[in-house]
Amino acid sequence: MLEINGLTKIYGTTRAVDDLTLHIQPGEIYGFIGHNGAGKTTTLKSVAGILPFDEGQILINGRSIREQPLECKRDMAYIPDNPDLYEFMTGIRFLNFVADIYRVPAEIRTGRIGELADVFEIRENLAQPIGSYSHGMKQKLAVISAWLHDPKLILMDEPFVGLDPKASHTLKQMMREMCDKGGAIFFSTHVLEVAEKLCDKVAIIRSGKLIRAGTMEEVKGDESLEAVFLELEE
Amino acid sequence: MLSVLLKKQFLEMNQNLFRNRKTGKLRSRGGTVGFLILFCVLFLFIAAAFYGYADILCDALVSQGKAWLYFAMMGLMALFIGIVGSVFNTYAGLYKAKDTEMLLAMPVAPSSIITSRMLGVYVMSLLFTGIIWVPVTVRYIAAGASGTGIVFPILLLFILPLLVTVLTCLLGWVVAQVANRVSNKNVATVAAALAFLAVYYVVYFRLNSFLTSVVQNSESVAAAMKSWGYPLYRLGLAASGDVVSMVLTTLVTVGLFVLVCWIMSRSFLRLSLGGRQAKAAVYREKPLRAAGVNRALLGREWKRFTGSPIYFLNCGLGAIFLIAAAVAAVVKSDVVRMVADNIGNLVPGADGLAPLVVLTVICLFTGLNMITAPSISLEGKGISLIRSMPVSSRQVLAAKEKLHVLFNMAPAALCAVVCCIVAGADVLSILLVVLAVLAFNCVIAAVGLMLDLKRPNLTWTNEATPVKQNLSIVLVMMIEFILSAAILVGGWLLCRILGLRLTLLLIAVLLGAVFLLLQSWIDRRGTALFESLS
Repeated sequence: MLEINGLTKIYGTTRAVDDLTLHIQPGEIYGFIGHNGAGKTTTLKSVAGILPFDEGQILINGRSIREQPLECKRDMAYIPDNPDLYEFMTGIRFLNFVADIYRVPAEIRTGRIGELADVFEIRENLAQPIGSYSHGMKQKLAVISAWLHDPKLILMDEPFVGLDPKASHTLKQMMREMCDKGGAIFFSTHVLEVAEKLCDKVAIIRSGKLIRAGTMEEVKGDESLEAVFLELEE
Repeated sequence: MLSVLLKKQFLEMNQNLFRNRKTGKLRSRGGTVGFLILFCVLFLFIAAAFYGYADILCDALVSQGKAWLYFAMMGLMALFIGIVGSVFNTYAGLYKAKDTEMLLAMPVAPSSIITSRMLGVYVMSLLFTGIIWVPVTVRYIAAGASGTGIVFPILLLFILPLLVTVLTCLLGWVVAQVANRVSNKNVATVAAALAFLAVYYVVYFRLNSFLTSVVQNSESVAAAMKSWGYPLYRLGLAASGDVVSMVLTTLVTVGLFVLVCWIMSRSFLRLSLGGRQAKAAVYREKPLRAAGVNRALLGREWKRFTGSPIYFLNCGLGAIFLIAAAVAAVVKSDVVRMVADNIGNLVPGADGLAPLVVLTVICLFTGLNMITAPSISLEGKGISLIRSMPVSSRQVLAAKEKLHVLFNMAPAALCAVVCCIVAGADVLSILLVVLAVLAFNCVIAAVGLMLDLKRPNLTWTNEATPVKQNLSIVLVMMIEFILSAAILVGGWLLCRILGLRLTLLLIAVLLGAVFLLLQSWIDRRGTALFESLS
């Protein structure tokens, strides 16, 4: 589903991501953890086709994000760490805009938006401007927009920040269901308990370099993920 | 506590004067001096214009023993300018300041917060009223005033802004009440701003004739002022040296200020933190209409443009001027026709060149619409969102240009056709003018986009920053003026050789060629620059 081979991104003289290689298979929830400034967001933005990178290759379903960006982007969705959505739009207009961009058929979009809005309990708020939403509501809207076109791969940067416990629980369920149907999820988080319970595989990055990756059992062994992470960070 | 808040308030003002807002660095000594000189020159320039207005009234009224009427009329003008100048800033400054919640969380009384902010408004009012009152006082002293006739106008320089503060704060309070109750704040803000602008222009354009008629009918104006505008009558008397009126004016103004402080501190919490009194719209499901990618992107740009009063009012007013110009051309068709017929008498060798003048004027108006100039910067931190979607950079940029061209096209073409018909132009000339106007429109769209691609500011926290403090907008305005002047002068010279129609055709072709060159840059370098933003 997602192949990152030798990804390197340089800012000035700093190697923000240094020769990173990761492969994510269909059906996998892949956690990405690391300290602040480790290179998680840079990696996710590179995969999403937002940031140009200096070396390496990123393939989504066998297609290069560099050479076929639009085709790759149609297959995936990206939820940024801060939901900077279009505050001048209402929630429903924003979702309709996203549906237009991803070419979601008109006959199914209304129903799908309604279902997802009900799941996250924001149906009534959809007619209001996004500028009036709380951080949590914006995050819920970002999640709905990501699921709207039924992507094969979802990239998420700290997706649980701002969500209430119920919405967090719902999101975890949706992530599992999507991967059970053959999709894949690659997400960053600082909440190691969530990563430990939810992820099939996990990668730990430090100062741009991948320091450990594999199935949850391979990475943490008999210890907790937190203990392993802190050990590796020292 | 109030002194601490005032210190913060003035530090903030100071920052704006002596710090570069973009870099956050202190201006160099040269930069600060240059900034102050520029400020003083601007102040003097505007004050000189008001000295001219004062001059119309002063000698005539003082010689009739109606110095009070001189001050009453000019005081009215100072109040008007003071209010127009600061009413919208007042609303934002009093109720929408970003530190409200932080200050309320501290052991600070709401009344101290509102009073400190009102004193901030007072300083702004001092500036706006001073720009009129200083030349008014100078002109009066020059007319031979003495004693209290000199002292009282100087004292009123500081008292009058207090009255402006009272009135603007009350208006700001009304705006806040309305803003909290209407569901579509943007439409309300745009409507209010346009209404203020209309009143401002009506007053501005009629000021000379109004002042002249005041001099000619001073007896009846004075009588009306005494009966209908008694406070202004007292203000005029105070400024002209009457002790009782001075005491009365001072006491009433200070009393009003205290009363307004009290009223506003009582509703401050509700108005600054409320904002949810308007009934929130509830979503009712109905089939959504699907659109193609390009149309969806255009819709996004349209919503951004019309959803932001500050963007719309700063970059879209030209369209309103164009429509107003078309209406004015019809209403004053006899005057337009007369000027068009006699243009050769005004400018030698310009016979029959009215369509060229029409083209220049429309270019000037249409150039006031600079929709693309801040459009990249306005993406702000949310630029990652559109960059993560399956749309090409070319499509995103094209939507921005399309909005500019489509928004301007109809009013510009309408104005061109109406003005040309009124000026008596033939059909072919009208078509060529329309063609040239549209080409000019495309050039301005491309120039604005190009400049903002080269100098985007994506890190703003207030939408006013990319719209009001954007070098791209200043440069587009300069280019627009230069280009319009070149069209007029170059066209006038070329007409002597090629004739009007060929000249208009050549202008349209040249503008079209410039547009294609700019477009080619946008397609190659522009898209690459856009893709480097995140």
